Amino acid sequence: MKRPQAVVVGTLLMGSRVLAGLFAVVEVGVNWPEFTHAIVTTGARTAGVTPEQAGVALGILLGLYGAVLALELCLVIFVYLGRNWARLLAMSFATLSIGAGFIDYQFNGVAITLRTSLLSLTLDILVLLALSSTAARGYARAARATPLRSD
Amino acid sequence: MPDETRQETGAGGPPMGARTRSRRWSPGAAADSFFFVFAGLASIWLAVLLASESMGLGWGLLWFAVVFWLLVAYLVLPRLNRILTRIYVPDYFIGRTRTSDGLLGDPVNLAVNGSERQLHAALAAAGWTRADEITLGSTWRIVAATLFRQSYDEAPVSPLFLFGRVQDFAYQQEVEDNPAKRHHVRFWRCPDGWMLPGGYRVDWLAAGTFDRAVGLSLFTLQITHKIDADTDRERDHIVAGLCSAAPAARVRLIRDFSSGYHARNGGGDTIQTDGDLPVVELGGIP
Repeated sequence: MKRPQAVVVGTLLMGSRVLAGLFAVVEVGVNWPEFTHAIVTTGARTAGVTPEQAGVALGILLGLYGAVLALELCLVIFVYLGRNWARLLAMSFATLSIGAGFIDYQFNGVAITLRTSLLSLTLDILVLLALSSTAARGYARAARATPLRSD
Repeated sequence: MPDETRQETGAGGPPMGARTRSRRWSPGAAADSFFFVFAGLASIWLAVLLASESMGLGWGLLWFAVVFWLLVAYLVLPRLNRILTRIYVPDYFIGRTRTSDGLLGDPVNLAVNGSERQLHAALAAAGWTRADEITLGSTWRIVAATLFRQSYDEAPVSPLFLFGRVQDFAYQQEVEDNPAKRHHVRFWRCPDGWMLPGGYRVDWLAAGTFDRAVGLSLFTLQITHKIDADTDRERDHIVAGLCSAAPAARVRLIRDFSSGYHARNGGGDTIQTDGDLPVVELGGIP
């Protein structure tokens, strides 16, 4: 079965999120001294923390974020290959993210604008629309029923 | 009398017999339905958020209007239509094709008996050109050709569904070197052993309509071709062309195959038909 455009678009959108995350990691890595310095000088409870200690903490956080990005990239690849579990998982993450955004917006009065989370929310909703489409579902189910081939 | 048990395939889904036997609750299908509907609701929310955001944009409103229309026309309304049509539009053969959003599309107004080779040969002899598949390249070309009034003989046609699948192929005749106006007809091969209501066995079903202009769909606001309401005239044009190009072809008319009706197609255009269905027999063509 030919890979539908919905799957291609959905994975491209998911991939763009991973790419944005990678840029953020690179950005922090390139400007490492500035970031550790900022933690020490502007942190609310960082009195007595040395730049080295801040660097270790930042490194751990960055490592965890990198691991999340790697897992997300794997998910993108599996969705692209037509794995149904990956599609369901990706849709679950998008749904949770949209749901959390809606609760914040509706009950905690958090504004959603272009300057805050509108772009990220749009991306989640587009991913969900693409992966929940009839074409994407048919492709994932067909791929589950027959051996995968890359076309 | 037609044998009802033989009519196993619906107009828009899998074999009916299999469907009725295996329609059980499954967690995967339930999750899919949930995500499908949730995405539709989320897209409405996104449209509302974009509308609120636009209030502070001033001159940005112009590009925003385009983004908003793209979102509503190509994501929100199709998804809402898909949710609603899945619930209420018949999923068995009623003589109408369906759009990719599940809306009732152009009427099935022609049947053919013959091999694929005979059909292609007869259509080519009658001056029809096979339409290109829809790709990014062909879509761009038809947009450019329409905007600049250039001829595009093999312009693609939008997908319509019968037997749960998109047309096998489509043919067209451009009018006045303008891609906005064209005769066009889509063909579907009937499933093996399938019979029309009334027990007629045919090899191909087709939906022929005349595109008269480019406009906006009433149901999705997408840019699409608007069709001429008199679908019988287009049907008769196709049959007459085939018969004059292939004298060995014979036509059998099933009168009142459906009751005559006035309705709308998937783009919201008015359609009317007398309900007759010609069956073109190509068996005599070498």
